[in-house]
Amino acid sequence: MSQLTFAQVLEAVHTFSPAELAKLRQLVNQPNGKPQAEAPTPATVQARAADNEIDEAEVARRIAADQQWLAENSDAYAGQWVALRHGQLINQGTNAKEVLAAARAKGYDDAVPVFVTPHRTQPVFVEMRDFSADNQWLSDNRSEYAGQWVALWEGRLLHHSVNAKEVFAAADAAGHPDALVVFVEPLRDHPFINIG
Amino acid sequence: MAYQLEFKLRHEYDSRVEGITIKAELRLAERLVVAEAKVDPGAQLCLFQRELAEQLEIDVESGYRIRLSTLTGGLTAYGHTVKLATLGLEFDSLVYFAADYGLPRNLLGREGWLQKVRLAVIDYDSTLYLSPYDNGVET
Repeated sequence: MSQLTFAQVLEAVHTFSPAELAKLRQLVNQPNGKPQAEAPTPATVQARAADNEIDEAEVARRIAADQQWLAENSDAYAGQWVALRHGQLINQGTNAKEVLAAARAKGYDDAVPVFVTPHRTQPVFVEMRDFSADNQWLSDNRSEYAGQWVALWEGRLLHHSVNAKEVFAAADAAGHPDALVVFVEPLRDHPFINIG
Repeated sequence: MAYQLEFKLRHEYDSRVEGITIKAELRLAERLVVAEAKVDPGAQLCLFQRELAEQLEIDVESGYRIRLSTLTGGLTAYGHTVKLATLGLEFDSLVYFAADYGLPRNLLGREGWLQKVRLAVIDYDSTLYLSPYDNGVET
């Protein structure tokens, strides 16, 4: 491509439409020719402020108090949903939505819903199916489905989509709610290392 | 001086996959999801994709809200108690779900997983050894 002289650039500028001139003005006013960050919306500002306000120690205290409540009361409330707040039972019910709504109606917006199961002090052994056929499928097809969600059952692709909800629904509809549902990560050019 | 450990479970993972990847089952009430997760002793806690929470019918934002630091900045996540099974060993765990969609991978970190087990890795053989922390199991 041939290099334009400054005079040619000026000449060309005179032929610009008002819209093109406005675009050029915007470009010239950007520091270092780089676009300026978009101004945050009020919602983003609010969310960032809320993130900065998270008191980690307070969250840890709340979790510890709620876990203590569960250790002491799980057997009595097993099979129910409860709304807990700082180790206190706010209310109980048959589903999460109901207990949350009831807690919020009482003014407890920070109550946490928990499905209570009988208290265990030890883990249990459970049967998990053999995933070797699914692993093989992923190994053979990873690049083709990169960036998509896939549902697999015994090495068979049940559904794929960029929409996870659609893939879960298809697995349920196929009678395999225990299908392996995976977001297929694109292959990288370089090895991954997490130093975050 | 030699040290000896005993494990109840042995698992050969797929060495073709990036990282040490195993299957994780999450259960809540009657709902179940089966996903892949990376064993990550460098992660402070267990972090899963928001999409999995929604399949479990979890109201993500109703959980314990925390902020996590990552390589590329930060992310917000919410803690929920679920049953977490890996390699045939299940326990009640507080795990976290990303507030945003599109988390590329799930992580099995210290809180909620690693602190509940004893784990040995022989990566040359693509083999994991796993036991409950104190070797106790409910039947």
